[in-house]
Amino acid sequence: MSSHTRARRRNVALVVLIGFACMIAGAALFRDPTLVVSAVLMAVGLLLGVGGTFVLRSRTGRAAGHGEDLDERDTELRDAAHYRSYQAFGALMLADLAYGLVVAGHPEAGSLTAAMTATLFLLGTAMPALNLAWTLPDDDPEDFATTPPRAA
Amino acid sequence: MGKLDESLGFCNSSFMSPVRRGKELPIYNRLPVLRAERGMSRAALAEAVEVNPQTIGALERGDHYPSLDLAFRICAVFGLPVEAVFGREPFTPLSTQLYRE
Repeated sequence: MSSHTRARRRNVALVVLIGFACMIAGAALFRDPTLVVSAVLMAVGLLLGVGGTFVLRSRTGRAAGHGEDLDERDTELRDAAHYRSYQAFGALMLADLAYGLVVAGHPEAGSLTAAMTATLFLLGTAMPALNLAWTLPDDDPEDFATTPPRAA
Repeated sequence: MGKLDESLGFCNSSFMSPVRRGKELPIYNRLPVLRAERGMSRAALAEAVEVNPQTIGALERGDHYPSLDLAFRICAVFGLPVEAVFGREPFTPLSTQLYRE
């Protein structure tokens, strides 16, 4: 197991956010004349956003992962991150609703709204890992040392 | 033991870091001293009590309160009662205690 710094985690978090920004732009262009541009943006965004989220999950420890191996502190961290992310997720869904109302008159409003909803939903699932990556301090190398501290 | 404490820099009682939460009722612990005395790494203690090594680090830094269950498991590893490992008041460095005796 290796240690990670907050600065490195934040760099990956920024890459993930750039990826999701690409996906949001792609979802907004998800209509006939700009379909190719949209597909490219969505593909790049998917690679950066979703791929980066998996990297973040490995760098934020077990708290961002599954429940089987979590101890009491991991569970506490995960619960706090999920709670905060759930509030942000609500804001994303409100933004999605507003977007749906804005494009309601467009002939391809259904596909535009569906693409945006899917994108924002994916962003919502990445929120806990983003939250942990941004807030967790640097790992302490002594946590991973297998030899005890020297007594003399 | 006093020499060990001094060599590890444990003479300063502020080393027993208070937990961040509950400013009025902090929980102090003696984990770094007890680990050093027994030659245990954080990873070894974590394995013994079945938690993530980072949780032991968080306990030592005062970033995390242990549950009662975890506190008992840690005390069982050291063979000490809970009040010898955890307390509401800062622990006097063992070297100071020995000198006074």
